[in-house]
Amino acid sequence: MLSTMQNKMKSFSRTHEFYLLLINILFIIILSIFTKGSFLTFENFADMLVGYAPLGIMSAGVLVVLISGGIDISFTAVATVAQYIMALFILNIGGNIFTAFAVAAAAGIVLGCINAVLVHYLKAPAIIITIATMNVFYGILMWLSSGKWLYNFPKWFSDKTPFASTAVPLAILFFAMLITGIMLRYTNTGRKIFAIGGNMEAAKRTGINILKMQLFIYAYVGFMAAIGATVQTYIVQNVAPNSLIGNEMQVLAMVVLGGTSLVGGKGTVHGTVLGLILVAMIGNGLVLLGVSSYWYNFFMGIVILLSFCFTALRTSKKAKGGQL
Amino acid sequence: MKSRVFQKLQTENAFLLLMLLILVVTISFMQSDFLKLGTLQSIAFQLPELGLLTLSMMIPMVTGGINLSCIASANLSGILMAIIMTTFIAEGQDNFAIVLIAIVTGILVSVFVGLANGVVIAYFKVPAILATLGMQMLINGVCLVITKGRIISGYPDSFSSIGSGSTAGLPVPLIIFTIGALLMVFIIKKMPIGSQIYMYGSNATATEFSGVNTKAMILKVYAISGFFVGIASIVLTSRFNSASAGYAESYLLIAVLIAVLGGISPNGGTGKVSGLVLSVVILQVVSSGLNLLRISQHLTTALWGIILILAVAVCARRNN
Repeated sequence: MLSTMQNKMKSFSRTHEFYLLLINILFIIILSIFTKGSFLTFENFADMLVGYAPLGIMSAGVLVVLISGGIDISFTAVATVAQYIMALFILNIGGNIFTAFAVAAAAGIVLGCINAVLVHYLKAPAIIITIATMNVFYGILMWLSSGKWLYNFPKWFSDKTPFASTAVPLAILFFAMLITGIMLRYTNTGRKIFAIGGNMEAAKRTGINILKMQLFIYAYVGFMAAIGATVQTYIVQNVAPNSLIGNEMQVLAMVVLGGTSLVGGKGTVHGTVLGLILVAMIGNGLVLLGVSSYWYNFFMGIVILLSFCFTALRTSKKAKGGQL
Repeated sequence: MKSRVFQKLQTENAFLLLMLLILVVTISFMQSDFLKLGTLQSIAFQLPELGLLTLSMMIPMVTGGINLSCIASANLSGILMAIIMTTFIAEGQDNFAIVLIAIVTGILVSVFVGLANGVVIAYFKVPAILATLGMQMLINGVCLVITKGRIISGYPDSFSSIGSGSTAGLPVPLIIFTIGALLMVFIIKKMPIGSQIYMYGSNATATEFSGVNTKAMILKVYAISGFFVGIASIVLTSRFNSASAGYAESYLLIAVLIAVLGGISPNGGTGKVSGLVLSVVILQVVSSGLNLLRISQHLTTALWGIILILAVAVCARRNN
C-alpha cells in the first residue's frame, strides 16, 4: 500500500503538473513577501479566483478542443453573443436563473456547432476558420446592437448576498472543471477525444465518427464559453459587448501552461486549474505590487511565449525519445 | 484560339480578374460616385499598405505557417520611428539624415521581431500560429509600455510625403508596393530560398531529408516577413501621420483573407504574387465600395469573415 503510494508520488514528480505546482508555490511565496502578507489572505485569494472564474470556466472548453488537436479562437465572440442574447431574454421575457443559463448555453452550443461544421467540411486549419467566425459572430452582434450596454437586470438576477456573489462563481467553476475531468477521464467520449488528438486518421479507421465528435467538441467549447459569460454577467451585473473579446490569449495561456499539448492528444484538468491560478496570480500580483496596467500585456506575453516554448520543447523531446 | 482562352479562364488569376470586373461594374451601378477620379486615387493610396502587409503574410503561409504578429510589429516599428523623429527633429523643421535613421531603425526592429518569431518556431518547435499569436501579445505589450496608450504624431514633411506624396503622377505608396511585389517575385523565382519554401510547404519532412537546413530557412522566412512588415509600417505610419499601439488591428483578418483569396493555401505549398496582387485590388475595391455605400463598419467586419470562409471553401474544393 505504502509502496504504491510512493510510486505514484514518484511518477507525479516527473510530470509537467508537478513543476507547475512548484512554480505556483514559488509565486505565492514571492507575492506574499513583496505584499507583506496581503496577498495570502483568504479574502484576496477568493476575490482573485472569482475575478478569473469566467475565463476559468471557458478554459475547460478550450482544454477539450486543444486535446482533440483543434483550436477555437472564436470562443470569446461566442461568449459575448450568448451573453447578449441571455441579457435580452431576461430583460424582455424574464424567467429565472436557470432559464438564463439555459438560454446562454443554447446560443453557445448553436454557434459551436457552426464552427464544427465549417472545420469539418472546409479542411482548412481550425484557427483560420475560427478567426473568421469570430469576426462574423462579433461583427453581426455589434452591427445589430450598435455596441449598446445592457443593465438593470431583474431582481432575481441582481439581488445577491455577499456569500452568493463569491460562492456561485466558484461553485460553477468547480463543477465545470469536475465535469470536464470526469468526461475526459472516465467516459467513452473522453477516450475518443484523446484518440482524435493523438492521430485523427487512426481514430477514423477505428470507426470513430469524426463529424459527430467535432460537433460535440466545438459545442462543448461554446457551452462553456456561454456559461462563463453568464457567470461574468452575474458578477459585474452588466453586459458590455467589448468586455470579453480580446481575452482569448489569456485563456489559451492557462490551458497551455497547464501542460496541454499544442498538437493534441495530451492535457489534464488539474494542469489547467494550476495554469488558471498562475495566470490569475500574475494579474492579481501586478495590481497588488502597484505595477501600471500598461505592463500587463507585456508580462502576459512573456509568460505565454515561455509556456508555449516549454510545452513544445517537452513534447518534441518526448517524441524523439520514443523514436530511439 | 478559343480553347486557349477557355484554358486561361480556368486558371485562378483569370477567375480573380473576372471577379474584379463584376465587382467594379456592380458597385458602379449601385453608387455612381465610384468611378470618379477621387475614389480611384484613394484606392491607390490605401491599397499599398494592405498589399505590403499581405506580402509579409505570404511566405510564412507558403511554408504552411502564418505571421499573426505583423500588425503589432508594424505598430512597434511605427512608434519607434515616430519617437526618433519627434525627439530629434524640432516641429516644423526637417532633417533628412534623422528621417533615414528612423526608417532604418523601423525596418531593423521588424526584422528582429521576425527573427524572434523564427527562433520560437524553428528551435522550440512551437506551431507558427501560436508562436506569432503570443508574439503579437508581447509586442503589443511593449507598444503599450512605450506609449502608455498615447498617440505620437508630428512628423517632418520629408517623412509625411512617403504616405501622401506623388512622383510622376503616381502615388509614392503605390510605387513602394510595386517594388515590394517585384522584390518578392525575385525572392521566390531567383533565390534558392524561393524553391525551398514551396518544397517545405508541400512536405516538411521530405525537405529536411533532402539536405535543406530547414531551421535556417524558417529563420530567413520570418526575417523576410519582418522586412515587409517594416516597409508596410513606414507607409502606414506616414499615411496615418501618427503612431499608436492599437492601429490597423482590423487589417490582420483582411491580410489573411487576401492571401487565401489570392490562391495561397493555408496548408502551405502554393501561391503566386500575381494572384495576391489581384486579390489585394479586389479587397480594396470591395472595401471602398462598402464605404461609399455607407455600410456599417461592424457589418463590414462580419462580411470579411464570411468572404474568408467562402475563399477557404473554394480553396478546399480546388485541392480536392
